[in-house]
Amino acid sequence: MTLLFLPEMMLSFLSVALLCLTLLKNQKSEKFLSNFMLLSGLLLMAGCLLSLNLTGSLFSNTYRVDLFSQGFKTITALAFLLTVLLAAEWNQIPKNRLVEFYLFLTTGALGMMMMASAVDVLSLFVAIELSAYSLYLLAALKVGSRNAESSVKYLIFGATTSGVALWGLSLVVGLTGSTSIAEILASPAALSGQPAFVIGLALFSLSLLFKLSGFPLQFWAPDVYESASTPAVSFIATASKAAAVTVLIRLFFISGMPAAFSMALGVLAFISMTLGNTAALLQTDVKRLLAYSSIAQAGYILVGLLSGSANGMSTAFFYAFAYVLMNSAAFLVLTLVAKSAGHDNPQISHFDGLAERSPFLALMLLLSLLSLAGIPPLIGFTGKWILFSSAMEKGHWFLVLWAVLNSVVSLFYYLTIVKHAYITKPKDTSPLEVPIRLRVAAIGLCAALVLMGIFPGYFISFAEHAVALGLIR
Amino acid sequence: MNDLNLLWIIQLAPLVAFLLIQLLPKNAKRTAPLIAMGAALLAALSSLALFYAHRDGNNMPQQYIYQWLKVSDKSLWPFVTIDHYVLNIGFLVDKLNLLMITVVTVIAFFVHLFSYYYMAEDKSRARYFGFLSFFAFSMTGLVLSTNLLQTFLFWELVGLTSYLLIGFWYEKQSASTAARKAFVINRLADLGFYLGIVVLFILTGTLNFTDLNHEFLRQMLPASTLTIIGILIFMGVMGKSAQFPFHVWLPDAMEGPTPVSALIHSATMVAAGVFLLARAFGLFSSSEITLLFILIIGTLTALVGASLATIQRDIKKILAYSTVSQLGLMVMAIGAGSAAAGMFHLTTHAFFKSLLFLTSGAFIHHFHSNDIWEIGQRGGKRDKVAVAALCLGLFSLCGIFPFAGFFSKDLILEVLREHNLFFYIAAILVSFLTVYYSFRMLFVILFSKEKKDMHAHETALAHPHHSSTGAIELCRVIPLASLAIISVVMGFLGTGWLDSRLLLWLGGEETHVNSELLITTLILIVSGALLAYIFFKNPETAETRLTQSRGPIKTILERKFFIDDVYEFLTKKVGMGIAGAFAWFDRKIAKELMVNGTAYRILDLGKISSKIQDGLLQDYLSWAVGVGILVAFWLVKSNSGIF
Repeated sequence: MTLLFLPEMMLSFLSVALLCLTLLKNQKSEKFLSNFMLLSGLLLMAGCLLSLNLTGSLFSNTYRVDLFSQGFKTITALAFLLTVLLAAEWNQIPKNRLVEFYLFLTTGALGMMMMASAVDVLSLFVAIELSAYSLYLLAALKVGSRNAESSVKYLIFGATTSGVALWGLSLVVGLTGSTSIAEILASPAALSGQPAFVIGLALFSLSLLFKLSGFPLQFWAPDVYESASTPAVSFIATASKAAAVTVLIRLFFISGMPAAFSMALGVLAFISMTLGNTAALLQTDVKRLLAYSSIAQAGYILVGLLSGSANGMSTAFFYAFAYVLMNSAAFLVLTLVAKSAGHDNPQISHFDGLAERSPFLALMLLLSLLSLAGIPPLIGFTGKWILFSSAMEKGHWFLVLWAVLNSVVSLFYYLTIVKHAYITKPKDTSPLEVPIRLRVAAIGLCAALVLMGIFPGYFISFAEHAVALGLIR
Repeated sequence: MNDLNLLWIIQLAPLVAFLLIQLLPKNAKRTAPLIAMGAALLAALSSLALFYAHRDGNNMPQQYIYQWLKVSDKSLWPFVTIDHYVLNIGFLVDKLNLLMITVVTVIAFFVHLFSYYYMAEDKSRARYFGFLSFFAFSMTGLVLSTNLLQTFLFWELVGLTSYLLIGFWYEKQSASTAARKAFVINRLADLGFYLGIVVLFILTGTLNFTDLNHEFLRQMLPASTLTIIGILIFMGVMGKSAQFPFHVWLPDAMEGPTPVSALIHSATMVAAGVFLLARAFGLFSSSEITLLFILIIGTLTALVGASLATIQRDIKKILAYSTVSQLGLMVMAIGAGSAAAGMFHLTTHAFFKSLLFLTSGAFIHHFHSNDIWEIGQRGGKRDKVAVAALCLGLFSLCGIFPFAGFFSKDLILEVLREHNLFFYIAAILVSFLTVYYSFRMLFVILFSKEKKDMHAHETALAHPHHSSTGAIELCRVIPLASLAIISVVMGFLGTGWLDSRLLLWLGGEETHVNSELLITTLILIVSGALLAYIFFKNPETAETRLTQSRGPIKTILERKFFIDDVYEFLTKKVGMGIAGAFAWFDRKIAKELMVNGTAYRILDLGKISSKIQDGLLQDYLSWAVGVGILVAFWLVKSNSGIF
C-alpha cells in the first residue's frame, strides 16, 4: 500500500514540509532551499523508479497503479527534477515567495501524478484541478507586474474550460449513473446515440486539449510562456504536456475511436499544427516561439492519438517522453542564456554567437531544436517516425503528409535560432559558464537525445507494454 | 591473433588515426604525424603478418560476411525474377587482395614517413595527415571488400580523399582547379560504374565477387547484356585508372603534395581500377567484346601517355604521364586475358613508381623547382641518395635487368605477343618511348652544368631543411632506400628463381626465359637510351633547340592530342548551354515561384495565425467555445443523424 502510493506520498510530505517552511519567521537562504529541493527531486525520482513495476488499485478502485501510470510518474519526476535544477540557476521569483514557488511546483507535480492514476471521473477531475491551480499560481509568481495580466487570463480561461468540462462530465455521469471511467466507456450502445452523452463526452475530451495546448484551447500558451518565469514555463511545457497525454491515452484507447470523433480530432490536429508552426515563424521572443512550437507539437501528438490503435497510443507515450526530454534540453539552454543576458525573455538575438561563448551549450541547443524539428538520428525523429507510421497504418495519410510538411516549416524557425547561435557574431563575447550540476544534467539529456534516437528499441517496447497494461477493461 | 582480428586492425587503424587527429585540441596538433604514422605502421605490420600466415596460399579465399540489407519488394520491380535481394558487407581475403593490401599498406607507411620530411614546414600538417589516414582507411576498405557495392562505396571515398589532397593547397588557383577536374571526371566515369552495378544487381541479384564467374553469368544473362554491364563497370576503371579519354585529370592531379602523388596518384588509388579488373575478372572475361574493348582502351592510353611524357619539362608531369602509360600497359595485359600479368606489373610498378615520385619529391623540396633543367642546373646530381634512387627507379621503369620492371614488363609483352601481333607492336612502341623519356630525364638532370650563382642565391634564402635534424633526414632516406631495395628484389619474387613465386601465386603460368623477347627488349633499351643520349648529352643546347623547333608533331603533343580542347568545347559550349537553360528554370521557376513563393505564402499564413492571438480574453473564449460547439454538433450529427 505505502509503496504503491510512494511518489504521491513523497510529494505530499514535501508540500507539507514546504508549507511549514513558509510559516517560519526567518526565511531560509535560497541556496539551502535549492539544495533541499534538489535532494527531494532525486528522492522522488528514486521513489518513482522503486514503484515502477508495481500494480494495484487504491481508494475503492478510483485510483489505479500500473506500469503505464508509474511510467508517466517517472517522466513527471524527471521534469520536476530538471525544473528544480533550472530554478536554482535563474528565476525571476520574488525572494520571499521562493518557498511558495517550490510549494506549488510540488502540488502541481502531485496533481499530474494523480492524473496518471485516476480512473474515476471524480478523482480525475480533482487531480486535473489540483495541477491546474498550482500552475496558475506558478505562472503568476514573478517579479514585475506584466505577468499579472496573462496569469489572470490563464486563470479565467482555465476556469472556463474546467466549467465546461464539468458540465460535460455531469451529463455523462447523469446518463450512465456511474463515475468509473471504465463503466462509462463500456456503457451500452443505446447511450452512444444520445446527443447529451455524445456532447458530454466530447466537451470533456476537448477540455483536455487545454493542458496539451491544442487548438482551440491553445490561446493561453503564448502569453503564459512569455510572461511566466522561465523555470515555471519549463515545467508547464514538459510535465503538464505529458500529463495531458496520459489522460488522453487512457480515455481514447479504451473508448475505441468512432470515425466521426477521429475526424474531428484530425481537423483540430491539422489546425494546431498549421497555426503553431506558421505563427512561430514570426516570433522573436524565444519563449513565445517555443509556445507556438508546443501548439504545433500538440498537433503531432493528436495525429498519433486519433488513430486509436494500441500502436498509436504507445507511440504517443514514447513521443511524450521524447518531448519532455527535448523541451527540457531547449529550456536548459534558454535559462542559461537568459541568465547571461540578465533578461527573462531572451530574444533570438541573445543567442548570437553562442557557439563561441559556449560550444557545449550551442551543441545542446542544436541537438534539442533539431530533435524538435524531427531530424535523424535524434529522438525527435524516431518519435515522429513511429508516431506518423502508426497514423499511416490507419490510413491518415493526408494528416501525416501535412505533419511532415509542417515539420519542414518548423525547421525554418528552429534553424533561425541555430543560425544565430553558430553564425552571427556576438556582441557580448564573454564565455558562458555552465555550472557543474546543470552540466551533468545537460550531458545526460544530450546523450538521451542521441542514444534513444538511435537505439529506441527498449523504450518503444516499454511503451507498448505499459499501454497494453494501462488498458482499463 | 586470428585473421579476422588482423583484418579489423588493417581496416580500422587508419580510421581511428583520422578520428583522433580530427579530435586533437589545437595545441596538440603537432602529434598528428606520429598518430598517422603509428596507424600506418600497425596496418602495414598486420598485413605483412597476414601475408606471411598465408604465404603458401592455403585456405583461400576466406570470407567474413555480414548481412547489411535485405530487400524483397517485388512491387517496386515487377519484372524481376529474383525473390530476395541481399546486400552484404564484410571482408574477402584471397591471394589477389592479400598481395594488394600488402602493397597498399607498406607503401602507405613509407609515404607517411616521407611526408614527415616533406611536410615538415607546412602549417596544416595535421589536416594533411588526417586526410592521408582517411585515404588509407578508404583504400584498405576498397581492397578488402566482398562485393561490388562495397567496393563502390570505398571507391567514392578514395575519390573524395584524392580530391581533398589534390586541392590540399587550395589557396593555389591551379590546385583547386585540378582537384575539381579530377573530381568531376571521376564522377562522370563512376556514373557508368554505378549503372553497371545497378543493372547487374537487378538482373542477377548478387554482387559478390565470389559469384561473378563465367559459368554463373553466362547462364544468367545473354552475351550482349554481359558486354554492356562489363563496359559500364569498366567506365569506372577508366576514370580511376586514368584511361583514355578520362586520363586528363591525372597529370593535373600533380598539383597535390608530392608524397600524395606517390601514394594515391601512382601506386595505389589509380591502380585500384586495374585491381578491380582483376578482382571481377570473371565478369569482364565473360564477354569477348568487353575484353577487346578493354584491350583497345589500354593500348590507346599507353600510347598517349608515353608519347606525351616525352615532351614534358616538369618532373612530376613526366612521371604522371608515365603512370598513365604504365596503367595502360596493365589494362592491356588484362584485356589480353592475363589478370596475373597485369597484377604483377601493378605490384612492381607500385613500388618503383612511388620510389620515383618520392625521389622527385626530394628534388623538388630541395631545389624548389619542378623543372628538370632547373633541377639539373641547381646541382641535382650532387644529391647522391636521390640520384641513386632515381637511377634505380628509372632502370626499373625501363625494364632493365635485373630490376623489377624487367620481369613484369616482359611478362606483359609475352602475353600480348601470344595474343595479337598488332597490340604487341604497340606495346613495343610504348616500351621504346618509356626508355626514351626515362633517359631523357636522367640525362638532363645529370649532364646539366651547375649554375653556381643561382644555387648560392637559393641557399642565401635560408633553407631550414638544409640543417634538418637527424629524424627528418631519416624520414627522407629510409623510404627511398627501402623502396629501392624492394624494387630490386620484387622482380625476382615473380620468377622461379626464388622460393616464393609471386606470379604462380597469382595464378599465372611459369615464365621461361625467352631469348627472342630478351633480345627485343635489349635492343629497345639500347636504342632508346642512345636516342636520348644523342639528343640530351648537352641539355643546354637541347633546350634551346627544343624551344625553337616547330612542327606538327610537336604541336599535337604540346596540345595533348587536343583532348583537353575537346573537353573544353564540350563543357564550355555544350555543357554551359544546357546548364544555362537549367539555371534559368532554377532561378525563375524553382527558386522564385516555387521555393520563395511557398515561403512567402507560409509567412503570410503566419501573420494571419498570429492575428488570432490578439490578447483579448473574450476573443479567446469565443473561439474556444465556438469550436467546441461545432465539434459537439458534428459528433452528434454523425452519431445519430438527427440533423
